[in-house]
Amino acid sequence: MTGRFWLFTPALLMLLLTGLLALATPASAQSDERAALQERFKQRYPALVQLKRDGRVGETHLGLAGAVRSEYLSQRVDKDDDESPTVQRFLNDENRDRRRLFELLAEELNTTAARVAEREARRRFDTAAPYEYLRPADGEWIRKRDYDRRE
Amino acid sequence: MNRHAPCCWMAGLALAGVMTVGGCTSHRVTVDPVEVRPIHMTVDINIKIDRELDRFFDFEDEVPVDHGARASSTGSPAGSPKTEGAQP
Repeated sequence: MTGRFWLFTPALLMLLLTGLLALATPASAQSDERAALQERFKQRYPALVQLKRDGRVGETHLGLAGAVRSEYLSQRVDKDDDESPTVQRFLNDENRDRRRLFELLAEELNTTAARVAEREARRRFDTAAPYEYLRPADGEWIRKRDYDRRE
Repeated sequence: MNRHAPCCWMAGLALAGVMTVGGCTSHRVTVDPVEVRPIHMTVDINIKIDRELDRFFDFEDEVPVDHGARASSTGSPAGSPKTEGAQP
């Protein structure tokens, strides 16, 4: 009996380790993805702030960034740099990552991505500078200072 | 002393009877169900989401943003922007 026990112990340990790894992997993968997302947001952040200062980009009630006028979409983020991505490309990247973040947080907090997006929009509206453009649900772009007066 | 004995017996019997009957009756205590209102749950989840978002975007506080700055003249739209087509 004792001999059999020792015979099976390594196999049992391997099984246990495999199970633990299988349990740990999804959480770890999600954490890695969040870290990668955060890094990309960090890299884009200075450009996003500059675009908002320029009045070319604003925040929408959907928790996403948008171009205040359609003609800005074809402009370069850095107008003096021909290698700089267009505003359209910049916004596509930013909003793709935001949507993914909403999904990840929704999964983690057992809620919907739409709710996370709504809270994110609220957070961005609250923290916006007075000169920044916001687009509430009515669809009109409005500066934060005018939005506050209206509210 | 003996004159009071029947009274004591009667009173004792009556008390015992009352206690016996009282013990046999069923007492039902009704407790109102605890109602978890959706609004409480909503507030709770909103707080959790806000906390996670604040934590995730905490790097934004490190970049100084001049809230008193005016939009630059180069890209600042004049008047009220009417555009659509810039849908996110």
